[in-house]
Amino acid sequence: MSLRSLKLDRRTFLYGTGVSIGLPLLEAMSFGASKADRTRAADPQRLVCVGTEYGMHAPAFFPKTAGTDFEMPELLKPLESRRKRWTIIEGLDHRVGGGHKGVQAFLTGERFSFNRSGMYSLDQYAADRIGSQTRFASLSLDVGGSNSWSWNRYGVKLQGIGNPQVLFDRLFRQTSAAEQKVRRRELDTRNSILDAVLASARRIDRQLGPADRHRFREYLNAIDETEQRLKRAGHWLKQPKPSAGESVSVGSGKRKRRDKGGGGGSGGDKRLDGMRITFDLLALALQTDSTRIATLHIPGGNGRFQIDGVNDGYHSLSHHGRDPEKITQLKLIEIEYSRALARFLDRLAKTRDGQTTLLENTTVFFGSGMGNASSHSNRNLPVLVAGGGFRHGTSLKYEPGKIPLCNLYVTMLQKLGIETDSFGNATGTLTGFA
Amino acid sequence: MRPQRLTQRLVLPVVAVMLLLPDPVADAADPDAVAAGRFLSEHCLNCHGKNKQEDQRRFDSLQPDFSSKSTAGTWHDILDQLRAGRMPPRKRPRPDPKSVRRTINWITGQLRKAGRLRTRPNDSVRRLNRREYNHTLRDLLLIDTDYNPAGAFPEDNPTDGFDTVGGSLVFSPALMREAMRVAADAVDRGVKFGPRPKVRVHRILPRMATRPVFRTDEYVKIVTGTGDGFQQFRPDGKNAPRLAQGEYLIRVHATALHTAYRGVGQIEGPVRMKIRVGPPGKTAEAGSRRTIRTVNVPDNQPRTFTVRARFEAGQVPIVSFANGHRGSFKNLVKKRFGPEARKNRAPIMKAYDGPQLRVFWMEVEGPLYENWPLPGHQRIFGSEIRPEDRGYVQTILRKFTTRAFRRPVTEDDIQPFLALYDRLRTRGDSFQQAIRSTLQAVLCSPGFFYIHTGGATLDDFAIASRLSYFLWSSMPDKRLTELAEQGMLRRSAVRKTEATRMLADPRSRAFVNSFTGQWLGLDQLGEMPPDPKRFRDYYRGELESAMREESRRFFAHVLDKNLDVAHFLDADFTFLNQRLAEHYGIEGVEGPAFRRVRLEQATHRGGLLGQASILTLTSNGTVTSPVVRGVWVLGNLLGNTPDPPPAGVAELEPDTRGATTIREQLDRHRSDKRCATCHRHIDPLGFALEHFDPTGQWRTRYDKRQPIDTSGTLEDGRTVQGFAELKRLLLEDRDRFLGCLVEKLLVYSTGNRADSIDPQRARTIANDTKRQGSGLADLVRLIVASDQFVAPASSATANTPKNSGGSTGSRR
Repeated sequence: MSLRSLKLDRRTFLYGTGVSIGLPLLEAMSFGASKADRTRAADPQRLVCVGTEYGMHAPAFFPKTAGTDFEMPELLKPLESRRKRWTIIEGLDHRVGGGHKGVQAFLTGERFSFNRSGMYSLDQYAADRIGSQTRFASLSLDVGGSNSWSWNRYGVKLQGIGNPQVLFDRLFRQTSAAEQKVRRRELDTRNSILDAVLASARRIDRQLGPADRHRFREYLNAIDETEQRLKRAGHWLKQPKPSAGESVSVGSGKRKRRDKGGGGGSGGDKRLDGMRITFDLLALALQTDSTRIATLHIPGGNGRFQIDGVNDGYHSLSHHGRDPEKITQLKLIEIEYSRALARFLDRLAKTRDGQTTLLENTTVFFGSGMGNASSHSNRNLPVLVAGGGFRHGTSLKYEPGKIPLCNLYVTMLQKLGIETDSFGNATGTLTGFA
Repeated sequence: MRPQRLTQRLVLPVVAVMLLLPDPVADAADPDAVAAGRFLSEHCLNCHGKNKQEDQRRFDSLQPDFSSKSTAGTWHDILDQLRAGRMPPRKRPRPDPKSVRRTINWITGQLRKAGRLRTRPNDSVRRLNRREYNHTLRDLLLIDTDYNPAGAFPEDNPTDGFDTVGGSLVFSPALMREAMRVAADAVDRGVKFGPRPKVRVHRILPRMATRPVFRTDEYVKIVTGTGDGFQQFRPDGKNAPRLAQGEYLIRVHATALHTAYRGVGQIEGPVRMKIRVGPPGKTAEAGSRRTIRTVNVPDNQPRTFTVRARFEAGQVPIVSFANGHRGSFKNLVKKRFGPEARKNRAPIMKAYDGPQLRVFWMEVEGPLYENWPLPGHQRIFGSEIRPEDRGYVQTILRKFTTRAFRRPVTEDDIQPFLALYDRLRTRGDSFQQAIRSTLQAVLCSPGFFYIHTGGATLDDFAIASRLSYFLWSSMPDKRLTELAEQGMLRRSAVRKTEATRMLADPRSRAFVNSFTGQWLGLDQLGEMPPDPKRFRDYYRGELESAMREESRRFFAHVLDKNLDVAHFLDADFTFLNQRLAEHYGIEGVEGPAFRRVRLEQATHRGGLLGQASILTLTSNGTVTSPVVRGVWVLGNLLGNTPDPPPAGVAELEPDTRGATTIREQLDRHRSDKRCATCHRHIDPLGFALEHFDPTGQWRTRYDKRQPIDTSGTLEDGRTVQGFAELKRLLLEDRDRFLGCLVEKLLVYSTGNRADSIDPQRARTIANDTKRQGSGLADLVRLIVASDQFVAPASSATANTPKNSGGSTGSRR
């Protein structure tokens, strides 16, 4: 997608986090724009994985019946208008336990242990295969913190970007010619430093026994990866970033409800606002083809949400102990996730991409590594898949504990054009979903 | 051990099998095999045999076929149980310890022969963890003591409870990127060329304060304690002085008013002014502000308060009212003037006559340098810098690299760095630029990042590092390095003397903080804070840090005075300040300073288990969990961490509606046999502590008024009821506790895995300690003097075949 021709047709303001960001709204957003020459087959495929730390309250998340004419569950009401664009799947999990510790299995299919060989997340697996074509091989995002769902191929967890301003700058802040020159010299210095470090490391490597060499491999890998990164940074330095439009300050202390589909009853909650902004920026990152793979971590913690009717901490609410009052409050929080997701899907669906929409070319996976936070169960995980050109509009139900969630991951990887028939503990693709 | 892993096809009972089966499966003439078979049939088959299969385990059909993966797995499970002393259960007749050991040895030997012994080898190199990285950088470059560059590194996951164990100290590309950034920053702090920077004074006036704080031409008025944008004096981004990183003096000219006011917004005692340093403007990421000091401000007499503080580049001073009204100004107005008054907040603020802080101006003076050139700079470059003399460059690089690598370096070692320097100079960099980058490269290289912990031998310099990272979490100092050069550190007496010297050094506080943070879990305090609604009090007056401080001081005191380690189990004193004493309901302790306090019996305190820190961190923030507390006691005091629950067990779904007590729920849980095996060991320890609520306060009933039942029967049959009795029983087990502490200290100090520690040698250390009176400092000295302490990590296993390998627990 050429970014020279970007034109701003409106401005969007982001409120609530204290950051003010002007968002680029691309010409390409409206249908009928050029780029018609792109063939369907050549459209790049994308993957977005969104996960909550404490799951979703299952009785209000899964439909009562399977099939296409299911009654919309309470927590999915915000997604009603696009019900033909997504599928909800019940009965899948990773067959791991561990409660909160098992949540990190979300995209890896493995519970964390010090034998870390299994911790390699879906997004990084995909990024290692198709990530090289974009400025960012993948984005690991968080809301407010630095957590993430991403584990690289060495079994090391990646830090998430939780500050929208930082994310925005990475995506859109232009570097001037003078800055570029300084930056290029910096890159060269860092390259030279790495060369020295590598030479020094090789010396030590030679002195180590084979067992320790295995451990030290990590360090050499880190150098290697950093060098690759510097090389890529050098390459992308030459390419202009997509335009970011005009930055606009938010009036101090004022809280405005943003355009429709936004706030609901929760305008002003910092975390929810942060989540929405992150979703917005993520949509832009996809739209501008800055990346094709992303994860978003929706954090837990016991902070209290500024939502009418919620007066208890999030973590305490997730441990509702079947207390109906707590469940009501928990649902008020979780429905905000659905709202934000609905808004994100909406945005992707309205954005033209090649012959079709961005949503059709983006698989959006929403779920968690937690099945029931109240009992710390990692069984029967919440799973919703939208877009990506799949046949949607159904409620699928599988017999619990029989089919690994990783089967779905294989299906999604194949959609990305990655030729594989295994991932994690998958036994194949997910039958009944294509 | 899962049932399907057992060889199901029936063979003869073990004893017969061993006698009958031909080579190579088992040597029929092997008397050890026969003895092991007899041991199993005598001690195991009653419950895991033909008639009974406790926990679905059955050994009568088990073959001594170690080449089969599943059979070997079963043998390994038996080995693990025997090694941990969990089987046979206490109520059964005790086997002769010699026969236990013989059986263990035989199984171990067979497993090893078949290559199926699960060993988790120690690493002979390990990365510095984040704490060590910080301290090492600080001591290497002689920079700020509270500098925390590794804060941006990915977190270290502890192995076997400690972040000194190499297994989990991974190196990732993210870490490399951060390391490069931090190295540049650290070198900038420690290395400053040119003349001493001019000291300048920047005055910050009320009109420069970030809105919407209330400000006039003369002063900024602060009336609540929220310390947010409305209620703090912080220069805005535009007007803030642009300060370089360094030390500065902050002067604040302020007074208090209406301190004695009684009513909404009232305060106890004088107005306390908090002086912080952080980024300018209204927005700031959490944790970006650092409190420098909180001072008392007298009423009606403007005074200038002066503090010294370290600033990061671009930071500003921020002043707030520490003990002001705890709600927002909106909330204050509503409470005092009624809901209608909300709309007229501005005039109310102007006329407000409750307790308040008025700040007239602030000043920042600096940057201040006591020494110039900086000591770290001086140490690297000497008094005369000769930029164009390559020999000089070579010398300073050799000296710096020697210190950074904590061992002598060869010309070969510094060659890559010298090459880098040359390359940058050729590119056109100045001496200053090039040498900075070169020093950065040294700080990113493995020689700096990795501690050599093994190899064929642990050489003198590795011993010096082991000592210094144990007791200081930092690099060896000059004396240790000299002793290493002289080969003195191989002598255990020298190490003992050094330990005494090192414990007396303030750097040893790093050991106190880090070891207590990990052994006791103090680092986790605050990760699951109590529910603010039910435990409002918890959030008043920095209680949490007072809790942590109590446990640290207690440990430090036992260490400094070389007291009997049994004090951790029970003691008639502790360390309190007013806030914590209030929490405990103990009178007569005033002020924020900590002091030693004698405890009466009626206070229900004494020992670690009476400390609110431990009791809070073992609760989930809402309710107490006898399971978590029981696991804590078993794992941290008795050295027997229970296995995590097996897969496929239904989790306990908490029911907070109040219909059932935790005991009723757990009783139900225990009716599941798979749960009962472990929980009958765990739960009674936790129940004995049920009189402590989730914040460690004493209670006599649960919230919903149900009575508390603290009674139970320990695994060895002793009955226990309540805290006092639990302490008494633990004191009876003091030897076991000492053994546990020895193991923890060995793991922490050597970075070896728990299961590679030789129990025989650990027992020797424990016995020697006991003979000397069980003092904690003596224990530390005996640890550093021990063979185990200087044994190379990776060969610790190989040298002690009896105890090598095996794993307990973490496989599931």
